Amino acid sequence: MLQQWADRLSARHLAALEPGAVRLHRRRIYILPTVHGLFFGLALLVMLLSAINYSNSLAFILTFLLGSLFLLSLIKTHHNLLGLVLRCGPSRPVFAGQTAMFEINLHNPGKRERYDIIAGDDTVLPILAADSTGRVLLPVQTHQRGYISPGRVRVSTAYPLSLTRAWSWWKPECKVCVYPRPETTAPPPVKSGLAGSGQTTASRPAQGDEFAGLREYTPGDPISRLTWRRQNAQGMPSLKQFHDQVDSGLWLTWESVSHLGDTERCLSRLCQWVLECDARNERYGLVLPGEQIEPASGSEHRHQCLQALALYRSPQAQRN
Amino acid sequence: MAVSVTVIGWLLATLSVVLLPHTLHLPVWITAVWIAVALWRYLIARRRSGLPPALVRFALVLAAITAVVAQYGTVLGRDAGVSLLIVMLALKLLEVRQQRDIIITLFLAYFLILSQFLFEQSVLMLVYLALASWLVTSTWMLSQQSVVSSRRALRQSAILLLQSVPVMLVLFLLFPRIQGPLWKLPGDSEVSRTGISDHMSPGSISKLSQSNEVAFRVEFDQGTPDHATLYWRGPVLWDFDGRSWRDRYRGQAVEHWVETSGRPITYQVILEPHNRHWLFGLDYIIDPGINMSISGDGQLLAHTKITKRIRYELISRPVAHWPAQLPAAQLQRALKLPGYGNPRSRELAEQLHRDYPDPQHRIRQLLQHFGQDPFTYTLTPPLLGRNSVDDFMFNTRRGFCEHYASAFVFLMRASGIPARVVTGYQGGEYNQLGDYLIVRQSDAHAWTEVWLDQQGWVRIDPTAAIAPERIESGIEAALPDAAPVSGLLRTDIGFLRDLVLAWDGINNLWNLWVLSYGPDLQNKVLRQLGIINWTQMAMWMTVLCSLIVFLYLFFWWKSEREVIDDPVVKAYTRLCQRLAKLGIKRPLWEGPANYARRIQRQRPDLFAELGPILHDYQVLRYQTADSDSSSRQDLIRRMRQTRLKRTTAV
Repeated sequence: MLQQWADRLSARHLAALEPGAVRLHRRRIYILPTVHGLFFGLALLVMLLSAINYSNSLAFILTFLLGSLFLLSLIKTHHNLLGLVLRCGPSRPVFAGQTAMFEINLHNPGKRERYDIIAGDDTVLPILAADSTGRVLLPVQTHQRGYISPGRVRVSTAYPLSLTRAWSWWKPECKVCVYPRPETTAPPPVKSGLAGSGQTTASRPAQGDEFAGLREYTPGDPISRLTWRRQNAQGMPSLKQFHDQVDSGLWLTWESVSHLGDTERCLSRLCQWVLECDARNERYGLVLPGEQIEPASGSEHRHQCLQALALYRSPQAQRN
Repeated sequence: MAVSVTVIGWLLATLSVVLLPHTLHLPVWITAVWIAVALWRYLIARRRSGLPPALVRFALVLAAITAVVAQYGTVLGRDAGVSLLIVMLALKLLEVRQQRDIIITLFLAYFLILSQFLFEQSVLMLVYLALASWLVTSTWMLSQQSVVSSRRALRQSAILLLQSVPVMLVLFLLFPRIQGPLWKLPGDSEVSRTGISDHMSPGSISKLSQSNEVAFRVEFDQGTPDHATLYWRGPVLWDFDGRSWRDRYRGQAVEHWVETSGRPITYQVILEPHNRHWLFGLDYIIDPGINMSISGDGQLLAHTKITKRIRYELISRPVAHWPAQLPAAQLQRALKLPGYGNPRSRELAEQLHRDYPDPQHRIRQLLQHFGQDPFTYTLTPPLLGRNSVDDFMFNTRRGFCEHYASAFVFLMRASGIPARVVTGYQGGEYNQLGDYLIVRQSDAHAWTEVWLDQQGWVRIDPTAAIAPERIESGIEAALPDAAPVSGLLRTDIGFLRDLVLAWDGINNLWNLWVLSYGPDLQNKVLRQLGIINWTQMAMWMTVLCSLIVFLYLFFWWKSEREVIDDPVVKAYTRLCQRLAKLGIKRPLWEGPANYARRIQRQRPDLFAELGPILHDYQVLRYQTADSDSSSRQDLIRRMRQTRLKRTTAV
């Protein structure tokens, strides 16, 4: 209860999204005794009373030693967070309904080790060596497509004795793209014409017939067509090219699914189709009202298409 | 969060260490309960089986409380309280499931350590319990870690405890002390202790003499007086019932019990608690301090029982000026004998009275009798029959000081000389290392005083007639080697004896400065430092504690800075800043290798010089082996001296 009240109070002045790395400095670390700490204080009081009652010097010594321990553990708890540098790591897109994993990099710039740093509610980083970076994955459950960001993240620690808890709020500017939920039971993609382009292609087997040559690999090319036989000066592989895949592609259009009515259902089906086409290494393009992506293939292209689906008419990122 | 087997093992071991000293003074069944429950809990943890059901635990708790009440009749007070605490701690183990339960048991462990101090406060016990506190703190830390590492917990809790010591010392010195007790618990003061008792019967002092325990310690302001004059006066016994001597009417306090003269001796006595009223001093005390009074027969009495170690200062002078006549009430008491018994001694006394009408001659004759006849001074006298004085005088003739004192006073009274028994201690051992005198229970003694008109009460020590070395140099000189006096005290090996004395010296300082640090001593010490009231104490306490904390923070901050203060890194940062002005800004995440590649693309002209520098920097920063300082200095110099020409990009 105390913690909740303190959370509310401490999060009140939380700034807007904070881009880049954030160093936890003194003024943004809060600290309070835990329930254990309160009971420890109570126990100290009882010990002090018995020391006075029996006029026992050693009882005084023990009481004062533990009191002093309390004070020092407070400082150490604070120090366990102080100076920590928080940064967002790369995170992978997910489909709606899956759990997005936000990678958070905790950098310890100091000379001392840090222990048991908790990110979010219960993700623990047990040890963070001096001058090193640790990585924690913050799970966030997704429900709908669009961008999602972890919102307010609490970085806290109760090291060394759980008598006190220090915490700091951070609103990282990191987001994960949440693709629409694919409709797994969707029928195969339908042929569709694209007005104005004059190009119509049918769905057909993906494997190319004729080998057309090699070109240099660029990130995003389908891995299945890589060859390591020939490498460039940097040791990168080459990409096999086939005639069939050069010329035409399959158009996945909004019109072909608009009969489903509900926007989300349409997007789910298109999403499934993109995945299917990608699995077969086909060339495909995507046409949405007001947006058109030329046929291509590869993971980069797949992401481009799915992102377009994710952000279709919902530009604002999800918050939680 | 569930508790691992390692943590349970640590918890049980730690608590056992904490409990070990308690087993010495608690009933055996409590130790047995502890061992049984600890083993039970360990097996549960090993086999991962379930904890006993709530009903069983509840029944056990009820049984435990009943057993403690049956043992002590109460659950309050020191002994009963500690027993209850231990039993409850044992039963608490049976429901340790989460971290929270562990924390509760560890709280109780700290309480147990504290309660041990109520039984003993020696230096060794402090060391032992400091180690126990370390273990408790380590277990605590261990139970809080998400990755259990015993070594780390031990190391970190040791550091934490050591770092806590300075603040602890400040609090110990400056925390305002008030005189306890705040409340009285039953059974706190009825602890039996060894020491001179309120009566003397044959064998009581010789039994006491076998104990090496310290009775009190004395510091003299100007040199220790001669051993033979050190008669530490305790209870004065008047009333004889045929076997034991008592003081039936506790002496009334008087303002001045005797006029004195002579060179005053000033000394401080640090008396161990003996749970009685009397205090010990040298004859003749002239000015009892506050909280004590002196009775008509010279007993120094405290107003309350001595339940803890106290220190008091006395002044004595060697010569007393008695009134010419003994008051009638005292005279009657000093001549009184039981109506029957010991006929042969009475006969001897009458014969002495006939042969030597002068009391002084009579006394000398009796002492000579003790010295000449085959009287033996021994710690193991034979048992005496119903007529104890007759038995001793004519049959056994073997006795310790109480036998001689008792027989002497009996014969004196029977021959018409007022006499009384004085008990206390005689002599003591001088500790050169600490410049003080140790008086032990083995120095317990009984002597007599007789009233002689014109002279007053005169001390006569019959033991001096039979064993003069007892009075002159102490008990070990007076007894043959075979006497069952125990311990290192009697050792002849010089260095062992020195060791024993050095250890006693440490204990004495410990008692004087640590254990007796109460309101009085605190007041005295702080007054010398110029701190005179609570406000100032509180102020200094706050200031010093803050200072210590500030110093810690400063040192930690300083050690943090050293990483950033690496001059090579500084020079590199400076170089990057200069390059940023030319438009080649290094983002935070870019390493020197990538940066160099970018410079090569954007400004090939600069790369000619910067390339090798950045490469060297990379080698220096990321190589595993330590670099020598000359190459570091060289690199810093090169980074500083690089010319960065502002030319347009190619």
